[in-house]
Amino acid sequence: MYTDRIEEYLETIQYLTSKNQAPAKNKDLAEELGLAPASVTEMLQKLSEEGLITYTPYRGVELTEMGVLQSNKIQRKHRILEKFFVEVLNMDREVASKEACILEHHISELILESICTFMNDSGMCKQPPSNSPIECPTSMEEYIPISDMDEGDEGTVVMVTLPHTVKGRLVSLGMTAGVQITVKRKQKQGSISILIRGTELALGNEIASKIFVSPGVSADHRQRSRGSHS
Amino acid sequence: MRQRSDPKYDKSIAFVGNPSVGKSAFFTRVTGVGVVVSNYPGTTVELTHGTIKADGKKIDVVDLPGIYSLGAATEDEKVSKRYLLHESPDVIVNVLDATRLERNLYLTLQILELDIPVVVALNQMDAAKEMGIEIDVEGLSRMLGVPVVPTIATKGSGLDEVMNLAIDAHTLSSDRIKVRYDNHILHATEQLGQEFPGVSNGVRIRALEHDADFVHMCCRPHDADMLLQSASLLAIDIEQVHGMHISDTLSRDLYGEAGQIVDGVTSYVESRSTLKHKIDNLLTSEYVGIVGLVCALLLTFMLVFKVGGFLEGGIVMLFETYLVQPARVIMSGSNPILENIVIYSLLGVEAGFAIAIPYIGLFYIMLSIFEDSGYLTRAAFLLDRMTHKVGLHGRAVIPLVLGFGCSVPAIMATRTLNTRRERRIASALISLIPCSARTVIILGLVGTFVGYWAAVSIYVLELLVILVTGWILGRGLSGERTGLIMEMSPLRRPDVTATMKKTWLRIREFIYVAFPLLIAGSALLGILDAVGVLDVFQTAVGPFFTGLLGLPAFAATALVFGILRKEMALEILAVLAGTASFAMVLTPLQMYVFAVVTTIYIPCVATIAILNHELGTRDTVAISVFTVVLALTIGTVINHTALLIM
Ligand SMILES: Nc1nc2c(ncn2[C@@H]2O[C@H](COP(=O)(O)OP(=O)(O)OP(=O)(O)O)[C@@H](O)[C@H]2O)c(=O)[nH]1
Ligand SMILES: [Mg+2]
Repeated sequence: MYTDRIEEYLETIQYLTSKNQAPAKNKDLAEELGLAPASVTEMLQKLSEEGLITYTPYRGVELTEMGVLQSNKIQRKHRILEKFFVEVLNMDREVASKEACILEHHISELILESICTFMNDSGMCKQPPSNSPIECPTSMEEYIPISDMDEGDEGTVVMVTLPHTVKGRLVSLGMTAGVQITVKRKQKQGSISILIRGTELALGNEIASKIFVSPGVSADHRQRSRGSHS
Repeated sequence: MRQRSDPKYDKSIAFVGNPSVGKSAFFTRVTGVGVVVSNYPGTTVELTHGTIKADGKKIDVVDLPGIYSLGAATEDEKVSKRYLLHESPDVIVNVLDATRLERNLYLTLQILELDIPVVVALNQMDAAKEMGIEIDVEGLSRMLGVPVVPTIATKGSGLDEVMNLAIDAHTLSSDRIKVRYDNHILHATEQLGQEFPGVSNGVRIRALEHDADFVHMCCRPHDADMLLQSASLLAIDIEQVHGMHISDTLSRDLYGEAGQIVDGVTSYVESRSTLKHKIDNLLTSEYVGIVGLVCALLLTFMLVFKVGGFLEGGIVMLFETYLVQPARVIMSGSNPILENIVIYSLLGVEAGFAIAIPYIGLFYIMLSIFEDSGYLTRAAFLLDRMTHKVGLHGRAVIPLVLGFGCSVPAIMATRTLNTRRERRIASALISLIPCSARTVIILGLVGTFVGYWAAVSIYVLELLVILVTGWILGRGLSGERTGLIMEMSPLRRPDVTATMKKTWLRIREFIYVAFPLLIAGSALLGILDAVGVLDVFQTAVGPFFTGLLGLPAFAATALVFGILRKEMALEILAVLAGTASFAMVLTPLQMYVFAVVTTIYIPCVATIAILNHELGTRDTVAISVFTVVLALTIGTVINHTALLIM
């Protein structure tokens, strides 16, 4: 948990400094991390004690050389994971990046190098991370399968991990990435029915557990789903 | 197979659209040809042709199974796809469900990419109004660039206008909508268009998606291969750029377009009917749902039994007093063969009217209510988990329930299932389900002369047999496993006239096919009896038959006729016994065993034919042999256990 926090701080500081080409402001950092400025200050003091950042009052924070090294290491992990997700697992880039944001803090060098070997792409694994900043949202909403939703829950479909033919069938019934759904009926460990594009679709558990959504409603979809029989 | 233009007709018009939008309702209204209309997706599973005449022209009108897209397909959808692409109708009437416009437009946009004139029938306008959906029909027509007519197929409104527009449609209008695909896609289709002029945009798009089936259906083999090859090169590049599967890009753009159209033409007003929602939720709630299902089934059989039994009694009495007895008096003393022919045919007709029509008719009325209320999709939803135990999933519940009516359409309805494995399991189980003909025997024989609960116990026994068979097949048969993906039908109050029409449609089949068979069979029996063949047969199988099942030898003859049609076993039994009051000639145990054996043993001829058509000879033989062995075994066990106990 603690290393997670540190790594997240380092990444965010690097992201902000490279974006603004100036030391990161305490306030911006708090905002980006979604935390109270007071707790941010406290953490920054710890980081500075460990020699990962330099903290100049009124100017802001910058990473030390050690801090940059550590942050780069994380970023490398992120990029390799993302590449693996996109190229090998065929995941959507955005989804892949988000998942990498979580996993980057937990994956060991051993697994990382195994992935590199598997992808037979040592070039990419060795090269220093590019400069484009990686953005990891702080309050990560996790993707959940439809089978984990309850009656009345809403969400936006992000990914379907089913064979091509089954996926094609779902698409023809309205199931595409980005579509808004609402759970209408649910049986314990059984079938589930959702409202999608104004129709009601029944899904078996084995199907529903392979469709991932990001829970909640996105504003631009509210309007259209209103007309469907609720 | 009919090729592009059949010289017999001046024009062909096909009804195309999503399942359950009202194509068959429309077709029946327009052509007068009776096809089944039901409130669940996948009612129609084969082509039906009808003819209309207009201005001296003869027009071929075709009802197709519903499809959700021009892409992936189950067996029934392939029938539509093949007709559309291979035989290519002159005009397409695209029927849409106004309550589900956005999803329906997905197919419409794909159809508009084929170079075939299209008229859109915006159906179910009454249901849309009730739900508070208002659609700007002219706006929709302007956006799509084809005529759009609001219709209510069940009431017949707007249908003539659609047909007139379709009959007059000759050319493709140039201001037809063009889907605003992503630039890379547009570029690729343009390039393909230059390389392969004369290939419609729809085909080019399907080629980009690498739908080889589709491309082969509408192009010559050589061209198809070339097209697919060029397209796949382009597709690889596009996928590289987008970092996503090309199908995902295409469906995104299509739905994007559909969504924009819907936003542009639809407005919502507040809708009412919360009672409906409450009922709806209750029907699929965890416990109430299951209890309700069991109650509904028991109630159905109780009703069919009570009312059917009442009618049966009355009809038997009428026939006996006014027809059979007088005939016996008149015929006595004449040529024995002639006497036999007359009396036997009369008995056959009596049995047909008294036993079959009341039960089968009532049963179909009840089935029709299940179908039209939208309950079947809810039952499928409810029973999804249970059906996994027999190697199936919830969607199979619909064909299985249809099996209580007649095995033949039920087995055809398995075309809506995803894989061959599912179709084999479902078809085998349907052959075991007591169809309405077998219900006649169970209720008309055991129910009436032994007792209602004895009859129910046969259903329970059947259910056990089905579950065990399903369980074994589910574990034994290898193949891909899929899951339930099914559109739920709206809840509707069944319409009385529609119910009666549909029941008549099904009973008519019975009268046209079964009665001639019954009369001919009875007459033949009369001759065989008179010349002594029957005696020879019965003395030959009698001992074996009586020893195992404890049934009189003439029951064996009845069973042989039962292969033609199941209920004929009972009718012929009545003929042979010389009466429809079975209590006089059989003990309760004999009746029970007879009913059990006839319900299980070998599917009837029509079922064997359809099994052979759908699954092939090997499966059909296996099912037939299995059921005969099973029936004899169970019958013997029941007979001997009962004899031991008593
Ligand atoms: N309220 C209303 N119901 C309709 C209308 N048209 C059809 N229906 C009902 O919708 C249901 C489906 O009708 P069908 O004609 O069987 O639909 P289909 O398009 O042939 O369906 P598939 O054969 O499954 O492809 C039936 O219950 C009809 O009674 C309509 O205009 N208004
Ligand atoms: Mg139909």
